[in-house]
Amino acid sequence: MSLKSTVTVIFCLITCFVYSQSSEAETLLNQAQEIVSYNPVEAATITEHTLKNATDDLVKIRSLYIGAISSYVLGNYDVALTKAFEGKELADDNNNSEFKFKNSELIGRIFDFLQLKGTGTVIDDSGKSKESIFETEHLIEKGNNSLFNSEIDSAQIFAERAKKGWSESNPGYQAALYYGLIADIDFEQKNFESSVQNYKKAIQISDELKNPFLNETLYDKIAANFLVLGNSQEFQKYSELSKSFNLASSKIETKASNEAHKLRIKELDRQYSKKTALYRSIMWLLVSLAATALALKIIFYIRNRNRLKMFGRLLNYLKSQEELKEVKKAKPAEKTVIEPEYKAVVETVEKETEPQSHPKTSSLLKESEEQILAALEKFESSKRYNHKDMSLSKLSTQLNTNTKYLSEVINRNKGKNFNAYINKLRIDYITEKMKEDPAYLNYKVSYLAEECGYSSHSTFTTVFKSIVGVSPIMFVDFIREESHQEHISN
Amino acid sequence: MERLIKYLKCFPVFTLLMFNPLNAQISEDSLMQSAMMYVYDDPDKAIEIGESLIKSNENNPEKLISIYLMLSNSYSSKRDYERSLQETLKAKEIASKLKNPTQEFKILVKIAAQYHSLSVNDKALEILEEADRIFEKTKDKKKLLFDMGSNYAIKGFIYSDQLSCDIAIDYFNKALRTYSESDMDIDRIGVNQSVVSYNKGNCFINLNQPDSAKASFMIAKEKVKDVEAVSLRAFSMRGLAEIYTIEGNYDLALNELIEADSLAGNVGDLELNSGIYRGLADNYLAKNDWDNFRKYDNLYNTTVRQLRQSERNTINNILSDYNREIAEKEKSGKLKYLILISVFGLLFLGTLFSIVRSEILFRNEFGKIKSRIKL
Repeated sequence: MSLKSTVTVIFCLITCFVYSQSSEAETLLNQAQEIVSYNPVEAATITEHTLKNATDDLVKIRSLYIGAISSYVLGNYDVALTKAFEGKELADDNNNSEFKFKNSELIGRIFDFLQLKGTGTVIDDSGKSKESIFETEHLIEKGNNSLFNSEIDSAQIFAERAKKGWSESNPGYQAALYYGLIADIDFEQKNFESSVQNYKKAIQISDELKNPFLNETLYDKIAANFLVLGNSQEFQKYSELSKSFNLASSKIETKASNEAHKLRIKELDRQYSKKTALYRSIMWLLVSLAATALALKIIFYIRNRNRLKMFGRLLNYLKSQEELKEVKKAKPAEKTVIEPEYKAVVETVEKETEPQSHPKTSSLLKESEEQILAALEKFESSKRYNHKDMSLSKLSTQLNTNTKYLSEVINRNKGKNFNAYINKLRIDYITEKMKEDPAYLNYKVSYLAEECGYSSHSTFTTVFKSIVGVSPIMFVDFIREESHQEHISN
Repeated sequence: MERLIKYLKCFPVFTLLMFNPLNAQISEDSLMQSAMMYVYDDPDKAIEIGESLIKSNENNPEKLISIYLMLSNSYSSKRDYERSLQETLKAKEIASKLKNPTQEFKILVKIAAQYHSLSVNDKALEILEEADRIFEKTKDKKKLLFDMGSNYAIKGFIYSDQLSCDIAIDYFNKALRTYSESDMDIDRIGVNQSVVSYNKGNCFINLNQPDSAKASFMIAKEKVKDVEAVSLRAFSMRGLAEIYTIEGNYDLALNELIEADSLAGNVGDLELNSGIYRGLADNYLAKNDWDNFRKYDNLYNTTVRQLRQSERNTINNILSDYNREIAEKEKSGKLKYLILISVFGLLFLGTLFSIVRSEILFRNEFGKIKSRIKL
């Protein structure tokens, strides 16, 4: 039996060089499944090999399951549990309900045996299971129950059904269980000699499997037969052997219980985190959405505030220009109702640019001051302020006065120092040009700077922005947009 | 008809530990005393108290040792034997620093017993050898003799576990001799000698020497004659009955077993009961008394199931507690997440709404400002 399967295993291992990996694994696993009940050690070796070389999860799941069954047949319940729990987890991850159920069934059987409160998935009353080992076990249990109630006929029927679970050519775990039941029936019928023979058949198989639980029970039962038969020597021999198997089985039992405890706790934890994972991911999605929205809100708020501030300044600049042009004709500025959210912003801007209070009374002669003012007016309309080398000393020479006096006059009457005064004239000039002549809109900033007497384009931009409120480029854009709109409305 | 032998194995080691004089070193501290009370009924509580005591006694090594030993007992009553061992090892570490060989020796024996109950026999033997070295160096050996007896006894258990009964019996004999040389009170010596003799008897059965086995069981029975240790007497009688069964003296065996059954009735030791029921079933079977055979066979099977159930009790309790805990956690977790989800959801929607509203406002405002600008 074992030689034959060894040969098959070697054959299968050789074929792995010939066939592609997945079909090789498939063949090996089918082989393992077939021999698991009568040659669990070989089956375990095969599944270890396929598990190690598995590339897809299904092969892993099948390897783990068959491995678990082989450990079960060998009575290594702790190992069986470890594999079954691992396989169940993997099957669950792969939504493989077939193997999830199969592993649950195996776990349920071991939990039942250990009298542990399990997962609740145990074989149903019909005894239908996809695993023939469990089906046989179930029939044997029913047979034992019948014997307990002294229903020998019914026990025999179950035994007959259990016989179909295995083949005579390869008697294995199920065969040992079957012969055990037959021997039990003999014992109940007080056919002790026949009972001994059947136990011996069962023991022959179970000795090969080395399942301590099975051995313990069978040796114990055969000992009872010898006791009735008055064979004290054989009774003692088998009792002692049974005790020695008990040493091994109770060790496994304790180990398996502790393992079961750990694995079940791990499974519960896993189920819990899986259940809450959905909630957790929804929550984190919303947290990130809310954070993004808040960030957007802040960005939009700052952007809009700055734009309003800028256009508020522009508005004021343009308004002041209008007022300058038609000092007397100017009508009062329209009062627009401003939404509360932006009201503060616009008002601050308006305050900022409010014309400063008039200068204090002068100690100088009014006459000469008026002369200078008249000369300044001429200077303003002459556009000489656009000269690059315009300076306070130059202007004072032109106006036949000294720099100190000129500066004081400008300060008092124009409300600003000489530089600010010139800058204002230059920028007013260039904005006027831009409004009137569309060609200016196409000029480069550096050209515009030069046009109004700035040699550096950055100085021009800075000055322009401080007076108009927006950069020259934005001003150009604004005018373009306006004229475009006007064009459309016309 | 499921017949599973429950070999009477765990009992003696447990007894040895119970009568280990280390447990008598209770501190006068009231907290410690209350913790000691909880060790068997509510080990979690005992552990909680013990852990808090460790922090407040960091500079008191003598006390720390007794706390760790108490923790070890608590974990072992929770059946967390590995953790129990860890605590004993901590106690040992402190004891070896203290250079108190007597105490260290006692702790080593306890550790060995724990390793043995975890079936880590190599380690147990290693620890016992370490204890042996301390014993050799100690001048006042008298104080250590009782624990040295336990040392030999554990060695005997280990070898009998490995079915090397010849060696085991040697150690059991040494244990018996050493116990009687010790200055411990006579009852305690008797109890431990009874346990050792009982195990020695089992070994003789294994060696197929029923006469020697019978003598050992007799001694085991005799040693606890005047002691309040009915279960030990019942165990010895069960052992004797086993010999009578082998000898074919079924009636004698039944006599012993029936008396043992009446003794054991008050103890409620399932292990003992199952052994007695098994013996009764076997002997009635041998006498062809099928009614009694069925009766006791059923009792035996029921007891074995109860025994297994009780062995799983701790795990089952932990599992069902954990199940409940997880269910509660799930419930409260769900609620927590639902609250968080709605809070962040509302925050998101609110912000989105506010962005849209501000944008509309801004556009209006911007339009107004623009309309005020006249070129």
